[in-house]
Amino acid sequence: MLPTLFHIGSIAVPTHGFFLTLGLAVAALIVLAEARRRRRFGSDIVLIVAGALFFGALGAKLSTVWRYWELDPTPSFFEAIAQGGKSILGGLAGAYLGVLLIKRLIGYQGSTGDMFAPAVALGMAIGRVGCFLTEQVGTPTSLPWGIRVGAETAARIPTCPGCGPGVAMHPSFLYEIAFQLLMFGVLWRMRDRLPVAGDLFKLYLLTYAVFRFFVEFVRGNEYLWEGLSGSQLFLIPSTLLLGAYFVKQMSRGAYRGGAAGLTPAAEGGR
Amino acid sequence: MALEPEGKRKWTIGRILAVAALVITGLIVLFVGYCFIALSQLG
Repeated sequence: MLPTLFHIGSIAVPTHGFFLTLGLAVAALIVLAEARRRRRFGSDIVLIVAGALFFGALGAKLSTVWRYWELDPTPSFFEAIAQGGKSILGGLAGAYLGVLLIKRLIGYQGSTGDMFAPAVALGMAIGRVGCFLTEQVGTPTSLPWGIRVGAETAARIPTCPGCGPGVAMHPSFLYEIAFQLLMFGVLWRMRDRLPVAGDLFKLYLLTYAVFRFFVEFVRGNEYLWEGLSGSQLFLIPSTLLLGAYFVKQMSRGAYRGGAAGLTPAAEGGR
Repeated sequence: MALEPEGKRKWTIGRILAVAALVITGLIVLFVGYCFIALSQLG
């Protein structure tokens, strides 16, 4: 709908890239501010945030390389990285693994997930503005808040059967922006209240996985198997793993006694 | 020698370079497609 946000001289600033960068910057700043509030700011945390960015970028790009391979069966690795898309789920998985790897490399044993959780939610809300303005809107709907696009935009949505000029479509990215903003508020309020360090991020991932599974039905993404998109096929085992973690924690009595309220000192080493 | 507390380890040249390398290569990986578009506009 709006591929170019503005121009700097003769260079067009892409809308998607602009909001993606803004979302990443805001998320990084919130993590660092949280680290300072918890008196854990230092070179370790900055390295961990940088690692999350690098491995998140790698995960986002590599998880969509197969789409480019479908168009060109013999691309170079460089072409696939340059021309392929980006996936936020691949980015989240890459960033999560990257944080684990960097922590292991530098010997950092504290939990960092609680610092990342609200930051990631707000960063995603900002980044999704870019998606809303540039990507396929959603599947057709008769709901009153459906969004209509012009013929030129509809022509750029080849994978959405039924999408066309004047057809109302689900504003799927607006649903996600609303969800992420709500999650940011909830996670921000809960950030010192969970009894187990690191659970805030896992709770966010589980909630997002469930939300994303259902919102995929109105995204209009390509089906891969039995009416499910690639994202949904990735989300099923991810949700089960996260759910199993919380069931195990509950069966061990980790949450018995309610929210204890974490002090910065209580978090170290877990 | 006393160990520095976790999270409070000093900045060293190696750590600064590692942060710079991770951030810069991460951004390149993420935005390399846009770089091509921008370069083609310049050309």
